[in-house]
Amino acid sequence: MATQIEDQLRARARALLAEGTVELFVGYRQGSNPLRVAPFVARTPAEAERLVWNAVCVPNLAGTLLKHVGKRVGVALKGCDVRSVVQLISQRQLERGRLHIVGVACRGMADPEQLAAVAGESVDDLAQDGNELLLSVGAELSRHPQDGLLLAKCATCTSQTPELYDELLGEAAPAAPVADRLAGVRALESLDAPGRLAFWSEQLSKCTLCYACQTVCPLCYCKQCPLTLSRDDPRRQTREPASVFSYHIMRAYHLAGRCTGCDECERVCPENIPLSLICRKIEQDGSPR
Amino acid sequence: MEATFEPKILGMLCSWCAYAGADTAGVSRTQYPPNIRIVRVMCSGRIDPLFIARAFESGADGVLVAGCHSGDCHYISGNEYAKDRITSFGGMLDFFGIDQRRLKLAWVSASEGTRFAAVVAEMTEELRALGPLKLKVQ
Amino acid sequence: METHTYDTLVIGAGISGMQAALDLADKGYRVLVVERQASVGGTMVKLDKTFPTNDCAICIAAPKMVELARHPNITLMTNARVERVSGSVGNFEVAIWRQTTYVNPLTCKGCGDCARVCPVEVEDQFNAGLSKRKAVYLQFPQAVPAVYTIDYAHCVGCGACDRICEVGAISFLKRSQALTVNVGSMIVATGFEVLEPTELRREYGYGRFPNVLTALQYERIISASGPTDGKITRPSDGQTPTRVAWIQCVGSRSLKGGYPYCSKICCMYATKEALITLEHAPDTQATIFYMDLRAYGKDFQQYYRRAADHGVRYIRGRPASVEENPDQSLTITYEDTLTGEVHAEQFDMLVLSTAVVPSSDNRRLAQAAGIAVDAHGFFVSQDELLAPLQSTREGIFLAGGAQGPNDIPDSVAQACGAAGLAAIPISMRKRAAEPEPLPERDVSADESRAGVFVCGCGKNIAGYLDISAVATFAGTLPGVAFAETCTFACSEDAQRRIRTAVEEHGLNRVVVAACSPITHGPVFQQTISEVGLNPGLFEMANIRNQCSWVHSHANDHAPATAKAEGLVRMAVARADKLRSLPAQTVEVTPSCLVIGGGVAGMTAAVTLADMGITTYLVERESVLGGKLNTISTLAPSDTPAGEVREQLVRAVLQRPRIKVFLSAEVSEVEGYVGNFRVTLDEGVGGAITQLQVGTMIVATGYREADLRGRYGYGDDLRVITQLELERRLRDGTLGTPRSVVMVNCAGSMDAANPACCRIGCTISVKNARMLRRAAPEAAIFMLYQEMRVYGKGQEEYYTHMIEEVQPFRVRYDSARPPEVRARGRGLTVSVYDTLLREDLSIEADLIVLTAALQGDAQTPRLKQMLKVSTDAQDFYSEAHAKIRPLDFTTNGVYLCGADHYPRTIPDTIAQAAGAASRAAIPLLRGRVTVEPIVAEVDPAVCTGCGDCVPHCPYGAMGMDITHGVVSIAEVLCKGCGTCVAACPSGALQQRGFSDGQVLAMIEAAWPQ
Repeated sequence: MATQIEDQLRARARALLAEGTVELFVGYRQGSNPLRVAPFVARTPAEAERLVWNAVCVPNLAGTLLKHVGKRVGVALKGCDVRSVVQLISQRQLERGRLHIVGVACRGMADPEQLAAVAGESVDDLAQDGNELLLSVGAELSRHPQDGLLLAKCATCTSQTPELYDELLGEAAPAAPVADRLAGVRALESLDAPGRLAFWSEQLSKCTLCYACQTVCPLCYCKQCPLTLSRDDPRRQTREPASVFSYHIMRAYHLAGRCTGCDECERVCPENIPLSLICRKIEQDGSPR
Repeated sequence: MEATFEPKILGMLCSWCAYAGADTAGVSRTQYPPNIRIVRVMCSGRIDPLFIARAFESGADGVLVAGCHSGDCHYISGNEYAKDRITSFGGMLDFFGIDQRRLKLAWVSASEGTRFAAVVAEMTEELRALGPLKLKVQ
Repeated sequence: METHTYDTLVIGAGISGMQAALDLADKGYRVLVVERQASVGGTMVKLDKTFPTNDCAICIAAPKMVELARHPNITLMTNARVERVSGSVGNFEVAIWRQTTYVNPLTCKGCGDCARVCPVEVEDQFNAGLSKRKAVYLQFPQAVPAVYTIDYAHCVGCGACDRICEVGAISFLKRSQALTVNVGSMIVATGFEVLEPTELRREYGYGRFPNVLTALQYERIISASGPTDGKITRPSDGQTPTRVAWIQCVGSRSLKGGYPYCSKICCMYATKEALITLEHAPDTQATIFYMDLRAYGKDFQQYYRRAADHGVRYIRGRPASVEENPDQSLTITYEDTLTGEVHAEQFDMLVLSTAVVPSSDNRRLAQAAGIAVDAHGFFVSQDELLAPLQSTREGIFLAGGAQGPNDIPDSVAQACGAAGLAAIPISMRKRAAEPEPLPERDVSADESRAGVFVCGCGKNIAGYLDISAVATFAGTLPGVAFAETCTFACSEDAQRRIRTAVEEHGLNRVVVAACSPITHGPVFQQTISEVGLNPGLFEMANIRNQCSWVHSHANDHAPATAKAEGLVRMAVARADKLRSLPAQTVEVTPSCLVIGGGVAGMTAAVTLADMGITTYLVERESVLGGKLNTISTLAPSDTPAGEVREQLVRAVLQRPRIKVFLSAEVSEVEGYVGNFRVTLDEGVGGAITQLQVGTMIVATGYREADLRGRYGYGDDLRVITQLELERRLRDGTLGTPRSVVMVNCAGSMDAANPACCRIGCTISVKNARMLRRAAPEAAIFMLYQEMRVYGKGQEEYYTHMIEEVQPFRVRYDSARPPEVRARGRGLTVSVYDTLLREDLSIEADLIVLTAALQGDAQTPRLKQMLKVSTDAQDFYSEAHAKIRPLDFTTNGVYLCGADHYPRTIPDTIAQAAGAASRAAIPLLRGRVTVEPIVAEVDPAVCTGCGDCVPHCPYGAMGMDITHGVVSIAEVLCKGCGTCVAACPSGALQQRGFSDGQVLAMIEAAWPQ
């Protein structure tokens, strides 16, 4: 069931592509199941029909834009993704003049994990009705308030309305009062150094140095990374704790001043390491440079 | 009896002030513990926090970064950048629970041989008390 | 007797002599430097820090010392003096006496074994007599040459040193030598001394009370390398003093048992010493007794204010007496002239800021060289106003403290100026060619084959660690093809051995484990380049200064041996990653552009032309002369400015090498050192000219601050500035004022603008004199804050003025500045006199404001084009406040005159000649060398994020918009690597210090 925004979005993408304003339009398509979407590049007005916009448009499309530098690109972005795009523009990685940003006002994305947990079984369809999410499992339809199922980062978001756009879908709304974004960082910082070390030792002991956190990060746009170890490096094979620490500390250092808090790193971490804590730490301390 | 723990310290020194100061310590035969290994760079501004991270990976228990006093930099302001970077990186180490005393930033002039020796001696003592850097889950 | 020929002889190797020698040698002239002491460095190296930046003195002087000793065009003779000068400019015959030191400078390793066994202890003059040294000694740890000297006056001839010296460097048979050299020009840079105030012992107790010191002694006490390792203690009992006092003008500004002149540097060094004392011990009470606080230089007043804010107490008054108490503290009796109260106060320690006096050898040298000294013993200039650096004999020039008290930047500027002038008589000589690069083997594709040479340095290393074990260990390391020990790696036979090993074993890297790469690296780099290896393929492990020497007290040699092995492992790991460092040069367009046609610009242009350089002189106005077109007369000789202008303009116009552009401005600058492309715009109807120049000098002068709305200026035509007064005096339009009030520091020396304009006091003194002549009946009031007549002859000029003019002098405070009111047809100035301690109301019919000064109005525009910076008052910022006063941080651009900061005509002329000398260096060399260890960018990796660009201290980085990557102007890069550390991806690397090279060392620091 298409949402109103989705209809508008498809219409705009079609028009932009048809009139030649953009060569590509970047958005989402339906993923492997109703709770998943995937980044999608529409190249023709017809392809624009495959665009979706629903309550689980989680992935940050800023990274996708980096793959199409040099082209005139239209893109549907929610507020948090726009933060990344703005950062990339300021770092000369994207050209503002080649982007047509269709901003989408966002009240927060639902957490697919939570939705799956609520549904109990595999969901056959996801739909939205006002503030409620409609989950269909077989013939059963259940209704859930969306606010209770938001991604953690959305609960503390202040970018409901994108800070930059060429046109806006949905209604601009003032930033809603939010929960304390930095509470987690402060809690960790209230521990003594050995306490923090114990916390991270445990968390990072799970890290396999798969570098998914880096691969997904739109601000990790370097063409080569001195932090990653090659596959045959013994330190990577043995998951040497000092090397794991070293990687995460350096990643934090390099992202300071770059990270826009999209928390994609944490989302994609197969070991569920709370990497967003690091992002909040950077956010709290500000840019070193 | 258990042998006392001998910490391993990596020193990264700018050529014009701190490294020259370490040389002066030698000329004056000012003694300090043999725990430090020194790497010379032209300016403390060259010191990439990656060097510090890799030093810890390579077994260092502590890293000393030393350059010219504020205003003395041979390259105008390289030491100011070093200060910002090392301070910021130190904050990261701290957040991960690595004791801040394991990364020391010191300003040593070419004439301060005694000071250089004192900095190394003091850091060696501190690290002895702290013990080896262990990052494994205990 | 053989006569050697040099181009120039420099007498004295303090900061002035070193700078002069380097400036000439860098131009390709062969320079002989003769120094009386055993080491170069002079007075500056005895100082702890330098004002007003608190730079460490030895840190900034030592690189110059090393450069001096290593320069291929400089011959250094220490322990030597000039005996006689005959002949004339272009062909001087100079007789030199070289005192033997009984130590062979070529074989001495500076190890210090001799000093340890020497039984004789004498007062260490380097530490101003506060500590002892041996009869065989090294003046100070950084001494250049690093060679021990036997002080024969104190040596008892026991021969202990001779017996212990492993290299046999000591020979009591070595005789002093008399030699003769032939030179084309000479520079006298013999420095100054400070008064030993023994004649004042009755008043201030120096030499009688142990806790009364001279400022130079105190300088050694606060110095980290001084007799107390920088701990401030009282000589009498080693206790830390809590109350320290300074008395200023001891022997200066005093006819009674002293010298009439102002010593110029004491107010600032006392302030510096007090500040450093507070840094050491914040609870110390530091008190300075002064007569006038002469914080006249750039940022001096701000420095003084900072000291006062930090708690340094300034008391205006000259203490009457100093008494010693039973606990050896001192009671100083003084009248505070601002309160009129008399106090007796107790101090733990007293420092006397004693007069700067001529070097004791000046009179003898003057006789030998046939040049004149003044009544005090300072060398005199041929013309104090217009030729301050020219001695009374043609071809002999003066620099630094030899001709009067000078601070370091003025000394350096004069040294550069003297070097420029000394280059003129020899300008037709053939200059030393740049050394041709030696042929090199290409080893880039070869596997690493390193040779490791482990030096024992006699027993200096071998005595404290096992060098054989280290060499054996080195042989086991990957990439090492050869390893051996040697007794002295720096000896000629060891060097030969290294060369042979490179050839026999096909080595493509050389690692020497010995002393410091700072002192000895270049020696070995030269050695390997002789057998076809690029100097970049050399690495050193510092197992002496940073290993054996600092572990020499340990009984167990194992830890030091293990550390040495670690250092060698690191060096070998790095050596494996080393690459050849290409030596690059850039051709230079051999011409110079001088911007500004005032005194500074004209002098610079004339000096350049006389050195043989094509010079373009661009002036915005339609006539040359700058402020000389406005000013009436010049102090202290009262020479009409018009005469000076005519003389300078004639000098410019007579020189065909100078092309003058009038009514023209610089509108565009592109390129960098060696090849600037400059566009000159001659305005509406004028031409647009494109120039190609190698270097540029900025000499754009100063302007008076706009005082409209203050002191009645702009509202009443009877309120004028000094420059307006100058014009009236010059044109004879002054009229007959009956009461003139001069207000000094108008718009300066207050909270809004703390700067002291430096020349305002002298201008007001001079103009008071001119006013008196023009209006003999007028009452003249001079309102001032501090009377800062600091320059040569100025104090005396001021004293004469007071007698001649009989002005009413009113000292005011910036907290209660003078107020001007129109009253009826007259003007009234009300002011609080801090010495009379009462409010005054003065009727005036002319008010002259000594306005705050600022850089030229066009400076903000010009600085953008030249990529240089300024301070808040639009004065240009030099590259280094002490040792590079005439350079900008931007290579190839230089500055002189009042655009840097207001200064007197002689200082301006000295600076202008100096800037010409600096600007001539790249032009005469014909090429600019690119630093081999520059940063480089890999465009395939660079993302063009630009994070690095603002980190470059030299503006060498920019964005290549076309390719979306960063670009580096290698000519501008100085090789600090700061940008490299800012790059997250490793796209930036520093040659010789790449990530790979540094990380290789780090990863090899401990066995893995």
